Amino acid sequence: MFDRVPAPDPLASLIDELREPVVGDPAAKRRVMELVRECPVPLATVGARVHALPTRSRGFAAIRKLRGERSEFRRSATASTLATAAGIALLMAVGNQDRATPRLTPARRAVIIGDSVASVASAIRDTLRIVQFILTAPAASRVALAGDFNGWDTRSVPLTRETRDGRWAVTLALAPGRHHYAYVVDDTQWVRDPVGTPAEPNELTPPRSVVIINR
Amino acid sequence: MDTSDAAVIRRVLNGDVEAYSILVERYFDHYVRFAVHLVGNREDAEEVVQDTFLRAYRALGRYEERERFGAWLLRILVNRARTVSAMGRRREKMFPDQVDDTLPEAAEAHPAERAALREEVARALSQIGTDQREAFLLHYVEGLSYEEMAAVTGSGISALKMRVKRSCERLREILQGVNRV
Repeated sequence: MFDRVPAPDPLASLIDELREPVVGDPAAKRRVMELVRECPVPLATVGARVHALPTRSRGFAAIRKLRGERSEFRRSATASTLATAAGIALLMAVGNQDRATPRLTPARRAVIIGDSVASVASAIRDTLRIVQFILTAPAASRVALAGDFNGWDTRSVPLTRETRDGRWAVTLALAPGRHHYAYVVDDTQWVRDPVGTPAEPNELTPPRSVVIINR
Repeated sequence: MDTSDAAVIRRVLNGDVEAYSILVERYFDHYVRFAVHLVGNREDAEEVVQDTFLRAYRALGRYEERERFGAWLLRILVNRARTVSAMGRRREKMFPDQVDDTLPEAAEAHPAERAALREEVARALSQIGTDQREAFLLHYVEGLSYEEMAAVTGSGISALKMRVKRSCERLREILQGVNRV
């Protein structure tokens, strides 16, 4: 899943060995599914139900519908959110080139470009922030965004190539808080945001960046 | 089709039980690896992972999308592994000659050098405490931040940092001792 970064000896070879892939017994996987089929279908609680209506926001059914259709990054009903993609001024800043990834030219960090508050009456805690992620990668055929907000799925949030000079971008509605993320170039290359804030320093952590979204 | 964890879980909760196999395929091997290193043998590890997936399925309705599914699954796995490890320690005390150690066996098909390395790795891990082993694996092998580790283990960040530090020191001692022989 992640690029490997050399570790200080003598632990490096141990960690490399521990990271070697293991193939699980296919029969064990089949057994899991056999047992699952014998179980009743789990019932979603209010907090997890995808289309459940937040109890505190009954007046905004249309907005909730919009959110249900568009957002993969919902919060639970207990801290439910209101989302509209308000057209807000775009904040961008040209950054530095990532020395570790020479194929990539200067890019822009993830920027918060607006709020999704649909009503003055909405509580501040119900705010989703609209965040734009931008990477300039002229040589890339595909770029995706993976982070803790999408289960580090390398396919669910593809970036769109916006310009001929290779600027890729995607806009997401994210809950306030601290989010780790990375770009996945051509399905294989994990790339830290060249101008984003690096995740917690650690000689062995994968190339990740962190964006902190304030309320 | 959206194949993110969240989308798959939605399908399962809406009655598409077979969609759960996507999550099994996505995480099973990876977590077997983690469990093997944590509990020390393949048989127990696969049992732990099977049990984890089953428990996760039963509790899927309580899963909240704001949490990474992999981390949620890992939390269940860590708890199951702790239980199995505790049972293993009791078994070891009762039947010291029957301690199962399948890691070296699993490596028999590999070249001798590789088998020796695996054996050395397994031996080194077995010589540090469960808490330290768990913290070391989560941090250095799974790549979790201390915040993520705290969420998975329920332990404080300071304690986790100390466990990682001590595990590194202890493993270095063990490995340097082996290399000097």
